[in-house]
Formats: sequence, C-alpha cells, structure tokens
Amino acid sequence: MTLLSLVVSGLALGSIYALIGVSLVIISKATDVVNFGQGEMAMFGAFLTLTLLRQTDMPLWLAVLATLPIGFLLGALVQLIVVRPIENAPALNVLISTLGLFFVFNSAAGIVWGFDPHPFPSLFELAPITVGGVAVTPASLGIIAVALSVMFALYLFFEKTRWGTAMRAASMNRTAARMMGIRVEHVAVAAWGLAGGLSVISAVLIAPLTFLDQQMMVSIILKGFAGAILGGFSSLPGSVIGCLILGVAETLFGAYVSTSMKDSFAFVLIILVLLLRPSGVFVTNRAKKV
Amino acid sequence: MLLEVEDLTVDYGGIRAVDGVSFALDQGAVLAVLGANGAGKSSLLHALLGVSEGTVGGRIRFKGEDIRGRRPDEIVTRGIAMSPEGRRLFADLTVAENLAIGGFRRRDRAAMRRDREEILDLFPRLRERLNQSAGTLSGGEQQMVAVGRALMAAPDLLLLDEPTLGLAPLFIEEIMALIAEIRGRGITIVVVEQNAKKALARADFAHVMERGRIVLSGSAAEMGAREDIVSAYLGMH
Repeated sequence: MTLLSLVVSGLALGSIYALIGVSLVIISKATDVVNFGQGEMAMFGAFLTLTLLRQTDMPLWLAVLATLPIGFLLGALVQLIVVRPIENAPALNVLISTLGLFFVFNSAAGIVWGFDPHPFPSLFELAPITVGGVAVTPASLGIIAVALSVMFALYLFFEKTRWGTAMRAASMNRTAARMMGIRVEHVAVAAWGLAGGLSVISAVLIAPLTFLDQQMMVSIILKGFAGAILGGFSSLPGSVIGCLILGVAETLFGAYVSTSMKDSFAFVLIILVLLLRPSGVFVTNRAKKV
Repeated sequence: MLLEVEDLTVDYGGIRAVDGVSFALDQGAVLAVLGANGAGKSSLLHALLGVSEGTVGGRIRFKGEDIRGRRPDEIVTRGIAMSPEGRRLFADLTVAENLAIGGFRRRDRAAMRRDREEILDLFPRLRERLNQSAGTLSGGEQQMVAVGRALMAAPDLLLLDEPTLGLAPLFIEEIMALIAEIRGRGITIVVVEQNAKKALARADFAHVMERGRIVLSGSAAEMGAREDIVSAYLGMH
C-alpha cells in the first residue's frame, strides 16, 4: 500500500475514534464524568441496530440513521437511571460506576447475542478501488464522510442553536446556567443522549470491518480517549484532530514499524503527551484575565 | 406589592444563614441590602431566585404567587433575574452569546431583539465587543455583560449581587448610575452592596443585615444621612 492509501485508512480509523472521543468529551464537559462504559454502550447499541435489521426489512441506510435515536435513548436512560442518583457522590464512586457500566453492557450483550462475532452489513463497498492512482476502500471514504458530516452537524448544533449554546454555557458554569433558567439536569440528559448517538454511529461504522462482537469497542474507546487527550480533552475540535492524528499515526506505525505493537504505540504517544503537554497538543497557554 | 417575603429562613446543614427575614417591595422601588460579609445577603438573593444550596423556609410571594420551592427556570419565567456576585459569566462564550443565554427562557424573538438593542444602547462598549469572548473583557465590562444578561430576561425584579465588587472607581460610578437608568424603565431592583454610601444614594429603602437578620430598615435617604449608622453597621464605607 502506498503512503496515501495508508493515510486514508488511518483517517477512517481516526474518524471512528473521533466519534467516541467527542462523546467522552461532551459527557465530561457537561457532567464531569469520564464514562468508561461509553464504548460498551456503543457496542450494545450496534447490536440493537443489528436486531432491528434482522427483525424488520428496514433498509440498511435507515437502520444506520436509526442508530441516532437508539444511541440517544441508551445514553439518556443511563444518565437518568445510573448516573443521576450518584451525581453528588465522590468522583471515585462515579468513576467506579462507569467501569461498572462497562461490565454490565459487555456481559449483557454476551448474554443476549452470544459471544461469537456477527457479520454486520456495510453501507459502503469494502473492496478497494483506485482513485487517482491511490488504492482506497469506499468504506474508508464513507466512514470519513459520515463522521465529518456528523461533526459538522454537531458544530452547527453547538454554535448556532439556542439549545447548543445553552449546553456550552452549562458546561462552563453550571451555577450561572441555573441562574439563567437553564435546566442543567436536562442538559445532562441531552449530553449523555447526544454522546450515545455519536458512539453508536461509530460502532455501526466500524462493525462491518471488524465484525460485531461484545469485545469490539474495548480498544476503540481507549483510542478515542487517547485521541481526545491528545487534543486537550476539553475542546471538541481539538479532540477530533487528536483522534485523526492518532488514527493516521497508528496506521503508519503498523505498516512501517510493527503491526503487533501498534496498540502500544498509541499509549506510548499518550504517555508522552501527558508528560510533555498535559493540556493537549493544541491548547496554547491562555493567560486568564481576572 | 410585587414582592413579599415573610419569615424567610435559609439553612445550610446546621447553620442558619438567613434567620426570619420579612419585608415587602413595591413595583419600581430600589431596595439596598447592606451588611458585612456573611450577613446572609447573598443567601437571601439566592433564595429569591430559587438557586439556594440550603433549605429555604418561610414565604416568598412574587406578583401574589408563592414561589418558594419553585425551580429557578420557573422563577426566571415569572420575572426575576439576577446578576450574580463575581459576575459568573460564561467566559468562553461571546458577549452576544452571554446576552442570548440571559434570555434563554423567552420565546418572543422580536421583543428580544429590541431588548438587546436597548441593552447595547445602555452599554455602548459592549456593542463593539459583541463577538469577543466574555472572559477577555475588563472587570467593568464583564459587570456590564452580567447586568445586560440579566436584563435580557426582561425581568420585573432585578437582583444585583455586589455589582461593584472589585471594580475601578470609574466603573463603580457607571454601574451605580445604571441603577437609576434601569429603575426608570419600571424595573424593581434589589441591590446587595458592600459600598453602602453609594448604594444608599441610589436606593429608596435599605435593610441592614447582621447574622441573617434585618437589624435596621428605613428610607435610604435617612439612613445615608446618619453617619453613626453608616459607621456602626457598615464599617468604613
């Protein structure tokens, strides 16, 4: 494979990480929780989508669109049932609970759908084609296109809508948001729901390539987390770029250095970032005015 | 009466921050609430807006309706807004976005646009800074955003919590002059201030709070004239 085709498949991988990474950042900014169960919720949502596909004769594109409400509902319910009751508990308790979410969804998926990998239909052709002399798979291009469209929609939502602005406001200063009449408890549900939708999209995008099984998202959430840290973890665009860089770097490392070590490569990168630029690669040190 | 407060208490765990406060306020009046740090002034305002962290007891009637125990969004919708102590702006949002969030509960878009224009006429400096992050403004400008943001809710009752704290003298004058301007629009104001003399000069009535109670009430003019009161209750201001 040429360098360019590696970069394209790296960007596709990075797009998957970015959807998960952005979910983690949205949740963390709105509710101060790092949800380690997010990947498993995404996998669970992908299984729900697969069931929907098998039980109905819904066309694939519609089922992929349906992941948004499915993921939203999943995220919102987890917020209301699991996270809301412990929101004032010490941070460590909440952290343990999100680890609990990981195991609950992981095991539940195994119990309901079994532990074997399921093939998942792909919206895009998996066999490579040649575009301008570069061999790429339509699947890679499709994943990048879907992820970019979702990110653009997300940008419009956060920057241009009343609710998006309110969510950003509540993430910055919850007390002030309450004083303005924003219901911060609704913001929390919306953030978890939004993150749920984004994560399930990432799961159904990757599932055709890896097969759908209950372990599918385990390494992906760690990479999404890592990419988001690379981008500073507080900025959505930063997290997207961090995840894309991670996807490309990891793919190139896998191709030119060692496939077996490419997972460790991602984490070495993260440790280096945390050591050298703990606030992320893109965050310039802002002087705070009093 | 626009606002009637009866036997209001605020408890934080075992600590009583507001201890049986009663007062009433007519539409269009300006009330100054004075007192030392920790006297319960901010706790009182937070209880009025429904954002108290403590347990609130007693009665708060606003436009004839008991609003104690209501959620802040319901209270904002009913016409109370606050410029909080320390301003609490959304630092990474632009000035325009901060103002928009102030009107979050409103749906009357045309009226909101008009109000925004009026507010920007009131604070011409903000018009030049509409697309700047609020966190990059000077303290005085930030205070203007905080007041403007509260006004965007189109309140009948405006709560100003320490609006001049930490500001340069020039800005203190400007903010204080604004109180007269705002009341001229028929908005009732409760202002909590450390700067007693300046507040008394702009208010109709004043309550002095000490350890959660109102220990002295009266017309602002009388109180401001009595140096002994000012120095005894309000320190050197």
